[in-house]
Amino acid sequence: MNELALIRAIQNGDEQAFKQLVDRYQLLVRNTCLNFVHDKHDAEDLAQEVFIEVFRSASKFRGESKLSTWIYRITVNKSLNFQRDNKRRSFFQSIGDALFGSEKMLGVSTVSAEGQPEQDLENKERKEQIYRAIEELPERQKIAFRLSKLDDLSYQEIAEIMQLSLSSVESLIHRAKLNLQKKLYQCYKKGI
Amino acid sequence: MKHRAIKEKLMFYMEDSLLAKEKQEIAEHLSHCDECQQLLESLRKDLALLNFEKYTENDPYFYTRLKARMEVPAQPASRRLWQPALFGALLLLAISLGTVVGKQFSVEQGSDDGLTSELVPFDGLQEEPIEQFLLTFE
Repeated sequence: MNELALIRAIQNGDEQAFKQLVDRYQLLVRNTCLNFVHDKHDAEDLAQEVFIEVFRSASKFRGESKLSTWIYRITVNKSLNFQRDNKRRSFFQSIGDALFGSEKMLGVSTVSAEGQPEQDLENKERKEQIYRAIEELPERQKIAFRLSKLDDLSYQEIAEIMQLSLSSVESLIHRAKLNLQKKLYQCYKKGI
Repeated sequence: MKHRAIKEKLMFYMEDSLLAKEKQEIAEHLSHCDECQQLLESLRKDLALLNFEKYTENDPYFYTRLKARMEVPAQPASRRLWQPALFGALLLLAISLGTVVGKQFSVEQGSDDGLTSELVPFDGLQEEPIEQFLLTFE
């Protein structure tokens, strides 16, 4: 079934067509979500939300762009909203912790560290460091960089997803790389 | 090219997205600059880690879990709003308390009959001229 036929079938409530769409795009959606939230549990949750949104707004798809572009757009928007909610939640959580005492389970990190080889732990720290550096980039640079570097999308595809011109995407990614490099150099300097 | 300019291009050198001339210049610089060599190595290691964690195949139970979630009615928004609402209320309470305490403080100042509110300039030199001070200073 081609893309348009698939989405028309979903609009008509064809469950089999929806399953086909989920099977076709779940890898794309789950990986993009993981690239944004860096946690498999959250990524799974988020991927489900994306497909629910795809199902609910199937009637809005007019076939002007590729189906994958439309799904990417929903995924990126959902991921950004998730991150914003998460930031808000952790803000209130930190105030709550300050007022009523912290309930953080310190054991979690200890448990995950236990029994892991030193190399894994070092890689984990380095990964956290680079994710933090990416997180600190301006929003549009962050999105463009992630889609390019982590999702391996072409600049043209990113331009379609972000609804920007090709030159804007090129410039965003160039600046993102420069900024990221600068932030990482600062981390190396501090010896993190 | 200077050391600083080369440092700024290391990521692009690593991705092989520079012109041949620039690449050659950087390669030459790297052959004798330990700092740039280390930075390049660290960048290479860090960016390689990004592609480490990826799903490579479909989860066969994903659709089942998705369908199960779609059948559950959506949670009311009020449940997600209680925390910000509680903090908002606490903040309001704190501000009101601060205002009340502040008002009480200003009332006390008003009932002062102007005795302390008036500034009396103090001229130490008139009380004890500097010459006298120096004469008596041991």
